[in-house]
Amino acid sequence: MSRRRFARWTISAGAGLPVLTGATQALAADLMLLVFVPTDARVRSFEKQLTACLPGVNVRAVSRFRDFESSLQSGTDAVLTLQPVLEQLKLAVSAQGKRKGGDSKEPYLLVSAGAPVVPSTVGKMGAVDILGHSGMKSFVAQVSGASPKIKSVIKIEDLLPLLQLQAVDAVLMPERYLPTFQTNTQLDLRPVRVGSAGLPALATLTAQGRSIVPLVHRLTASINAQMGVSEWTVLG
Amino acid sequence: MDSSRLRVLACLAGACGLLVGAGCDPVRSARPARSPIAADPFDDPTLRSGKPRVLVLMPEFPQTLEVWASLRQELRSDFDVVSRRIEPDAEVELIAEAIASVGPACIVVMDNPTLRLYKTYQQGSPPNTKHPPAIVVMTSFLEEQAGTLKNVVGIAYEVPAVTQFAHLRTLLRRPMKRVGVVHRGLLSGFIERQRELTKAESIELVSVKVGDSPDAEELRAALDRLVVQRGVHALWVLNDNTLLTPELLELAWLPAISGERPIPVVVGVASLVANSPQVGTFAMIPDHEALGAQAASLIFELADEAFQPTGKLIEAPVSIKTIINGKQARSYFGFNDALRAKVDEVVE
Repeated sequence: MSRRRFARWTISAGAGLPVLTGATQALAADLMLLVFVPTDARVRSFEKQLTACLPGVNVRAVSRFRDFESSLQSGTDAVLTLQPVLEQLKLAVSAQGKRKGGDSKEPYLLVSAGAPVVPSTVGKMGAVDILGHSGMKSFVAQVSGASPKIKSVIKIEDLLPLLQLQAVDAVLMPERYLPTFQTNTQLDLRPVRVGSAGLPALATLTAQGRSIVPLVHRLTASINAQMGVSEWTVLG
Repeated sequence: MDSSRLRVLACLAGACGLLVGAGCDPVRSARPARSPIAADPFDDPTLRSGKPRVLVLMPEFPQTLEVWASLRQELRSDFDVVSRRIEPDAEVELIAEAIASVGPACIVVMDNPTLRLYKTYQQGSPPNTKHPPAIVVMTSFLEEQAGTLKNVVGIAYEVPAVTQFAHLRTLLRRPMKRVGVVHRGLLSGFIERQRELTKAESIELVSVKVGDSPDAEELRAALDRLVVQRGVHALWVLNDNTLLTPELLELAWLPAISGERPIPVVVGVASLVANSPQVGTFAMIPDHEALGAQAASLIFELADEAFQPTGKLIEAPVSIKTIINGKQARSYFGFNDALRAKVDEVVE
């Protein structure tokens, strides 16, 4: 047991908590959780929220796919990211976020300003980069049914300037963001429903990482809502 | 004015990253510092066979390093990124030598002095020289300059007014239908383009033009016209060093914005929000990490077009960082903690 784990265990036990609880917390003390889930909050703010409800877990949230890739190489016990990202990296899902009703995918929209678009005729499409350049080509084709030029951004909120500046014909985004976009702009937004894509999921990379899996149930309703999740299902 | 306050104001103006005015540069006016990033951009990577090369010409400043790190992160699996440090006194031969030795598929040019040097290089090249496409970032008013260069695309450094105002509207619980701006004649074209874009968001950009070297009285009259007569809902302060001298800050800006009815002031540099006396309530500045990613996206687009640029040549930066004066924003403009997650930094 490391000194840090021992100290945490001693404090917990000394506080009159059952030894088992102390040990569980102690086990979590050195765990690393890497998070890459685009939300409409700033990444540091999101990281802070996650840290607050996962005591003892070192949470690191990143805002870009390439940062996620390189952080993975540095080592982590578990990752929390969108299911398509896990699929691209060939990581097995240990816990899956789901919508109300149990669907593990969420619907996407193609949103334009002024006039609705026919997905197959879109020449340039904005999207949040969740998979890198080549991965995004496949993702966009799969979800929208189109093969446009892609203008990638790193934040959900940056999709709106693409429409304001007429830099793209339409933007691809999860349907749940539409009300926020409509509140934030006077543009005449025209949504067209296209396909769907997987919600956030948790994958473990080490044996220790398995102890993070049940902690998904500790995520607050607010955090889950930011990720489009209503409930979690632990697999295996 | 007491001397200590004058010194503060002089520092403010000097630290602005000012964009308009002789010798000013948005990047180099900031304090140089060593890179916080792990890799040294000027160490040549091991070149891989079959990978196209991107040559980055840049000075070594915190902001350029941030853009470089993001750009390289996005590109490195598909391109070899080779970088050359360009000092302010660099000779044009340095650029010629870098292009000849690296053989880039495209070039990234960062900041005003580097662009001036690159322009000199192009002008000194034989007329039939085939220049690889250059992606220009972090320079002032690029759209005005791009016409004098060959095979150039890029990203402007000025955050579009429409992006700033629409974001401001999400942070404030008050109307945002008219935003005022004071400008000099040389920025009339820029202001007109911004005015067109803000219309789409139902925001009127109300502008007052002043002379090329306005004194405090002229500037104060222009600001009063906007705030008092036109009743604008916010003021937009351009990064124009001629309008932001210590004297004008003290005698025109601060009195105009400190009236009985406080007005939100949007500035383009963090120091005008972070340092006392605080002129701005909100600073909306380019997000350098996102700028690097946007430049990378542009390079991928170029690669898809076999490095023959088509379409719109100069893009606007799409991502901003927001820094707010917490006390002002909360006291006067209804900013609350629920909105904290939508800003990057709150200065207390």
